[in-house]
Amino acid sequence: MKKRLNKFYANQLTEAVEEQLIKQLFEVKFDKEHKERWEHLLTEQYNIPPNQSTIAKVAQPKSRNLPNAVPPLHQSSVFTRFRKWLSVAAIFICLLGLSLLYPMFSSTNTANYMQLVDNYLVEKHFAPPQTRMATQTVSELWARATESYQNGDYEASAQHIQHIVDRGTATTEHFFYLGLSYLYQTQTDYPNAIQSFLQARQLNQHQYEDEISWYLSLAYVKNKELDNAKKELKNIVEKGNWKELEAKKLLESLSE
Amino acid sequence: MKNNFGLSKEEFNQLVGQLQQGNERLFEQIFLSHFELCMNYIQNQCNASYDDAYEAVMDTLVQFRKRIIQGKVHYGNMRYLFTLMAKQNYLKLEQSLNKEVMSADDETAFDEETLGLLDKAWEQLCNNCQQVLRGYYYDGFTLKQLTQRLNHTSNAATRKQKERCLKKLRNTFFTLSNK
Repeated sequence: MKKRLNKFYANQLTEAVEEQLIKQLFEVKFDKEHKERWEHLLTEQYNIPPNQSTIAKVAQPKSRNLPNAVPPLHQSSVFTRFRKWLSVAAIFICLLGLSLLYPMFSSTNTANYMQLVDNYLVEKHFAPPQTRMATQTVSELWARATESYQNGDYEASAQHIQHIVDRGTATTEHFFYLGLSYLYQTQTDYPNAIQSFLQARQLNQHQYEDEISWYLSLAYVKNKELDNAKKELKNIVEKGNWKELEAKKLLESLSE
Repeated sequence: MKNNFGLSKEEFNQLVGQLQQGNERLFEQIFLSHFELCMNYIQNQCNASYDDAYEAVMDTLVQFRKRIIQGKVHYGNMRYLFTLMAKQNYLKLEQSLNKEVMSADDETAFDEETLGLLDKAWEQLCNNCQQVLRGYYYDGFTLKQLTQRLNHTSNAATRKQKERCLKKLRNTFFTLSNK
């Protein structure tokens, strides 16, 4: 390898060999960089360290490594028996408490599914990719809309997309993101969100098919059109694809 | 674990587009959140240790990213492809661990010193050069794709820039290695 590197410095390699060498060098360098970054993210955000020993150190008490270690006080037989009774009593009290609280929970069912929808709306749908449009002005408007959307300024993104709609050149993608913008903006506009999703679907039934069903169902719930919401959710569950579990959960919550 | 890691087709297209534009956020969001599930699968299927499963899935992540960028992964059953690759990586890892003596003069091995020099030389390149060289040699873009991606006027212009940047890298690399 050293020989090849020296030839590389002296520019004595053929193009093919040089290309191969650079590819190998870059592969090692960038693969390593990726791995280091992902290792860090996995450890910090997902609690998945690269070695099991790291978990073991945190999770296992030291006495486990000592076969003849004296059990600590709380493991003595009297204490263990007492603890067992204590656990049974605690479970009994919990069950009693839950049965008393059940009527209160069931009466707040509306709050439950609304809360569920609010939770689903916290995570925002990805911003659209920037693509070139038919005319310069539409391109500019769409670029501004996607930028506003990316920055979380949904009022502005709705306004920019509405200008595209007014020009009569809106596509399914425009209507879809218009619906999302109405759904996410501070002063939410559910009727217009629903209208935009329906127009998106009308233009092309297949593009954003799953997404439209999902966000339409959320908008319907927020607009208290529960029958329409259920229809969309049933459709998602039957197809069994994107957001199936969430749709199932919301549907159950609506049917309670 | 769902067939396509919970991605719809549109989202998958967005993932490809974003990766090709150099934005890795969505890829990391999707695949790192499935990392543990993949590890568990390898541990259960291959009776692998935690550390080996981690390494195999990490290698797969690196390869899968490249494949997506190069348009070699299609929407359909990404989970199957990913787990298959992870399994193969685990088997390779196991084979290499079983070899008692690793070849000392491995033709593809670079020492730490060389990699350290590369890092330093790389830092001295301008942003444009880094984009061209990384895109061409690491991400596997063709000159045509790079021309479009970097808004260059022609493929010839991209080729010239690539050659200039490589020369610069080579010279800096050489100067640093002689210090």
